Amino acid sequence: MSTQAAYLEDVVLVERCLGRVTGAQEAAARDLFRRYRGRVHAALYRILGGNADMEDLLQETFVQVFASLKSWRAEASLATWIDRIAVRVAYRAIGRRRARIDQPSPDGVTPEVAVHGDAPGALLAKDGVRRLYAALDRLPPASRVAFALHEIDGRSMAEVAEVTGASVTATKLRVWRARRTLEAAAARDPVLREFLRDGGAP
Amino acid sequence: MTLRDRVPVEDLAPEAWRHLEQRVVAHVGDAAAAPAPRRWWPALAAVAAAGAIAAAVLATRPTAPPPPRPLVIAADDRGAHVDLGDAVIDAEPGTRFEVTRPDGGVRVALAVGAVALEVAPRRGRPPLWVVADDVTVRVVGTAFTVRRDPTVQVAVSHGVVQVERAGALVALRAGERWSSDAGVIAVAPPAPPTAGATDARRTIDGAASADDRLAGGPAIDFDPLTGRRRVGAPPTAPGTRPTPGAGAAPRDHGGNAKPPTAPPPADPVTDLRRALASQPIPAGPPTTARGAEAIAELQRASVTERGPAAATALWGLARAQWAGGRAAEALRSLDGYLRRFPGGAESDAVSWLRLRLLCNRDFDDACRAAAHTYATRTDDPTRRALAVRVTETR
Repeated sequence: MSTQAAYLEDVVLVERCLGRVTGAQEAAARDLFRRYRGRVHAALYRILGGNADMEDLLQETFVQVFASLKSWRAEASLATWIDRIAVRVAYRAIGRRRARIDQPSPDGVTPEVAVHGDAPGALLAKDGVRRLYAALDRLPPASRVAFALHEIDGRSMAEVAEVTGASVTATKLRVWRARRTLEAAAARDPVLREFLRDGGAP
Repeated sequence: MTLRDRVPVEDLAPEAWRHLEQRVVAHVGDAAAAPAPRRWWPALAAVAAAGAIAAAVLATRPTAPPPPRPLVIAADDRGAHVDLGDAVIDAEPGTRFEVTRPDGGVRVALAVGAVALEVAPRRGRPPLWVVADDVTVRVVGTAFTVRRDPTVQVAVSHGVVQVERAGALVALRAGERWSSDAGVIAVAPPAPPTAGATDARRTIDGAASADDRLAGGPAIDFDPLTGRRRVGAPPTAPGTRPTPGAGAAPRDHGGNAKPPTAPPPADPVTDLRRALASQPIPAGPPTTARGAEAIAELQRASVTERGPAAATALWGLARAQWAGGRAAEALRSLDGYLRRFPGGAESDAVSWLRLRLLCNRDFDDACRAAAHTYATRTDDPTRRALAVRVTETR
């Protein structure tokens, strides 16, 4: 589907969700949810490092999407607009997690990470991912979000800047700081170093 | 292998997705019925900012510039051509329409006749829409025709438009047509790729009436095979109908028709550079000398003179430096002008030349920043549209 056609479908979908076009509003909401749930899930997963509380976070995101749908201005991409809401939800989740963890675990390991593959390699990769997110836990939320969206979710700097509401320069700086922190962590941790080297980052 | 591949996303169970969807959808009715959330802080901040800006404007300018007047076009017997920078409008003879730019967008109100538009993709830009009677055609990025005589007909050559009437929305794609006849919305199926010119002019219901009128537009002719405006298509007299495929088909020396060939795809960056370069730079003040002597004369005047005279000299200096190929010096002079005379009489020309110089090298951050500044301050719609296009480059 072309970008223009997708954009137009978004416009019509939102009109249907808001009940401005005769038809089943609920069906339109389901269409919108199904269209963007994968994208939002991937972004939240890669920012937070797992599926812990994911259903609540997805619900929080989409409830906000539908509650604010009237304020969407059609000249901006709906996907980007939804991403912004998802990122705000992720920020709040990071804040809640930090407040909740009074006593961090000894190795600072993030509990839940899925890795697919053959057994020994998968275990090694799983360990690497855990250590990666443990290192990201020590970063300021803005750096963590920028790094996760750019380096892990594969988005461009400009897109990350747009989604996070920062300038491209500030976004580059945040990603650079995150890389520097990860490099320092990797210097002390051979498993993380190996994982990052295989992963092509930082 | 990238980090993206190393951190795969574990999907939720289908049951979890189903429950989640039910919970989310349950909120939708309430959300749609609820009024838009009131945000006091932005309103308060906007009022405060507006007050500060108004105070600053009143302090620095004797009078605020009037809002741009609507552009009223009444095409004569040769038709009319309007270039808005990011949109080109061609009107048939006798067409009357008005162009306004509310909130930076483009609104074309068609009173009578037919307009054909070629519009750059609107993603990230303010909207463009055409209003004819009670029909609104919203543009995504396309070439299309709207006719009002008195029923409203819309034909899309390429791209996508959204037609709205009485709350009903219809998406029209390339080759599709729409008519407001009898108040019923009817959409023709898209023309199959092999159908060629004949199918592209097909009517909605097989009758010839509505589409014959659309197809008979004299100066507005699009090649249904390429979706582009036919270059060099001769204008047809009103009321006559060109033979499909014959009017614009190139011929060889023997007079035999050649198969149509699509023009090479345009490079948007090159096009933008050409569009920037096509805008003339206003002349500087007259000098008694030429070349380096003129530069020296203007340099002295920019230092010894005061007020508007110094501003004019500094503008002349920058322009002379630019004309002499001394771009870096010209840029310094332009920056000096904007620092010393931010509301100077030549500030629009200064900002435009600065944009040109910065964007000559590359469409980088400095270029885009200059374009953004220019777009927010200028009253020239064509240049503003070009500056906006520059800000959208990556």
